[in-house]
Amino acid sequence: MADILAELGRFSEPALLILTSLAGGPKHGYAMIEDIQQIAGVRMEPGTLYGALARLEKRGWIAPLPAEDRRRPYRITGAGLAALREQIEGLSHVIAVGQQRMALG
Amino acid sequence: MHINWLLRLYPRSWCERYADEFSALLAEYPVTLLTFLDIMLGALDARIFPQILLERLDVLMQRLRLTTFTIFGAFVAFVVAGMGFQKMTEYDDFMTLAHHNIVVGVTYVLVVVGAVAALVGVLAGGVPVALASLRYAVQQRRWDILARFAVPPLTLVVLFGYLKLMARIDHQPSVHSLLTDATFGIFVALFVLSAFASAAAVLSAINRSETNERVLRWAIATGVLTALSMCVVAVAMINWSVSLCLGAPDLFFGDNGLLASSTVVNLAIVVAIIVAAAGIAARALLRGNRPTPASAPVGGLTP
Repeated sequence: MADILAELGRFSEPALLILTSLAGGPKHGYAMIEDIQQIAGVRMEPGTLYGALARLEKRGWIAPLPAEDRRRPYRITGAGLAALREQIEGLSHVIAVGQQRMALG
Repeated sequence: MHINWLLRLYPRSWCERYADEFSALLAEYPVTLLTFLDIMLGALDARIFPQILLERLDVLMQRLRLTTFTIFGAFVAFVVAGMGFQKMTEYDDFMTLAHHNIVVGVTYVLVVVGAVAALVGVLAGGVPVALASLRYAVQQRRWDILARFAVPPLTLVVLFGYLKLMARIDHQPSVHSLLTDATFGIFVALFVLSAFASAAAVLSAINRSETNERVLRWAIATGVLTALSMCVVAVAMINWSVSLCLGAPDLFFGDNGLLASSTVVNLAIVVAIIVAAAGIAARALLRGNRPTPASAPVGGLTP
């Protein structure tokens, strides 16, 4: 299973959460933090959020939208959706195998 | 809480792009101590990897740089610990034992040969990278890069100046007088600080330069020699320690460490650092040689 987010090092997990959040529609920084807390129970700190956003933007997986009163929303791109899909499929495979093996044990 | 001043820790290029929206986020965000630490780490990250903002992130080049830098950083720690080992074993008792106990003698020679091989690997790979970076700095008139390359010679001058000064002041006949111990302790601290400051400055200089892929690949190829030699040294040093414990327990449990401190404690620290450095270098090489995922797009927005 190729972990395409592994290249992001310590930002791989935040990147996955950000892509998941943006898959539900464009959001600005604070909205992303709230959404991620709701879906994953993780409170992402601003430094980590922007470290991951910068990397995702440079890879073309997310794109900035015009700022609204200093708050800039981001949207997921086609390449970002493809990357997210690949990552989720990889994780689903691990989950399926894990569940299967636990059922056997 | 008003913490926008923390944005000054970020590089200017980062601030030009993100400061406005980042401060808008901080205005809404409930700040904790963890937030402070996280922002400081984020600023450090933006300074270490400025290219994530200044140019398209080239995954392959990023990985090559990271691998080269990790091996070099591990080598610096390896050298600092190795010099502690060398200082400890220069006493006559250790040298005599190395001549009479074949295992101690052979493992000691292996440590020396491995250290020299690791140095050869670093020089063979590191010098071309440093020269390429210097050439770039001169051609582009990048004074910030040249200033970083000035750090190692400056720290050397400081160290030699300190030694000269201490040689004039300290004329006490006792080997372990308070003054001698304090002088040596300060020297060790200065040496460690200089080594890491020089390494950080050179790495930062190279990171700010355009280095071509061929030079970095060569550095990683020679890094194989460095990492392997470091592993050999780590294994030889563990064997040397065990042989010393079995063959000369009075020496092993004596006080022949730095500043007449416990040999065991000194040895444990040195071996731990050497093993960790060798492990980090080997891991960096293994990670650096993984194939790049074909599906990872680099730059360019896809609507």
